[in-house]
Amino acid sequence: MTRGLSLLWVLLCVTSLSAGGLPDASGIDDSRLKTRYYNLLQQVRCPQCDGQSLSGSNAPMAQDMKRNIVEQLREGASDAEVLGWVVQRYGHSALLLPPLDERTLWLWLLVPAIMLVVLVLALYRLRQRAGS
Amino acid sequence: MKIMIAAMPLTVALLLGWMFWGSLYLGDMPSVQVGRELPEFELPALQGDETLTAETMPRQPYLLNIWASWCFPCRVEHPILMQLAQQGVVIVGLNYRDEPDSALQWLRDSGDPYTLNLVDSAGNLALDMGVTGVPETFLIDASGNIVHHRTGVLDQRVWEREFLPRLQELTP
Repeated sequence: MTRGLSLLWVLLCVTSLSAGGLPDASGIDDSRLKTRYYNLLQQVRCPQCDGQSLSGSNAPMAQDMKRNIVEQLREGASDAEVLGWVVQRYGHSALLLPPLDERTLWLWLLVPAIMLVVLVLALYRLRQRAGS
Repeated sequence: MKIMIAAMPLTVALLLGWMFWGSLYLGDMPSVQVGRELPEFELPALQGDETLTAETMPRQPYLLNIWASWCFPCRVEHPILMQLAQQGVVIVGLNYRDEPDSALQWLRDSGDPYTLNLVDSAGNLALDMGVTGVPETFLIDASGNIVHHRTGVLDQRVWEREFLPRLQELTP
């Protein structure tokens, strides 16, 4: 039992170690820039493979886009500028986290609205049950 | 109230069914590129050692076809490109992420429908044009504006429905 537990600990340590040293293909040295880069990759849909972000894709097109984004960040582009560059080419559907504006308002409000309706219904039922 | 709650799963199922059914017929996302000018570029020609730019493109309506020798669907659309070229349609090729040698070999083996060919080995122009894969075809007018953007294989039906009417409109 103790042996099993210690083995588990060793395994846990090893896996967390390897997670800390994930391979990094960005070639960016500045750790702040690197964080921004990986953050951006998760916000952009790979145009070649619907449903995957750039960070999860190794498609040729995703590689080209990643290379391009690295260059832009190195030249001092802001996050908004990089996302603007993507939208300019592939439209708003390329963003996995759509910005809140008049076109996406219903999209953002729909889920809270449904939750509110369900909550009201549940409360109503609970009160009914308590009353009977 | 009981009926409302009992009907809820059915309502949700019908709603989801309607959404999925609708999504089957959505078709392609409209391209954001239509109505824009051809982006600036400077790329070598596949044949000869010219450097081609947006300014050296044909001064008449033409098709810009994204292709590669490694791309299987491009072989499917190759015969119709050959046929269009014979009818006098100007077709500019954009050889996407390809080896120039294999590209030239492919054109020698199966025929060359292109008036000229750009070599985009890094895929930069394709990226600027919002290309999502090969093959894709653009219709460009005489002043370099993008009139139509087709994702996927150009077949007889697509040609007659999407390209021919627009091309006829452009040619007086």
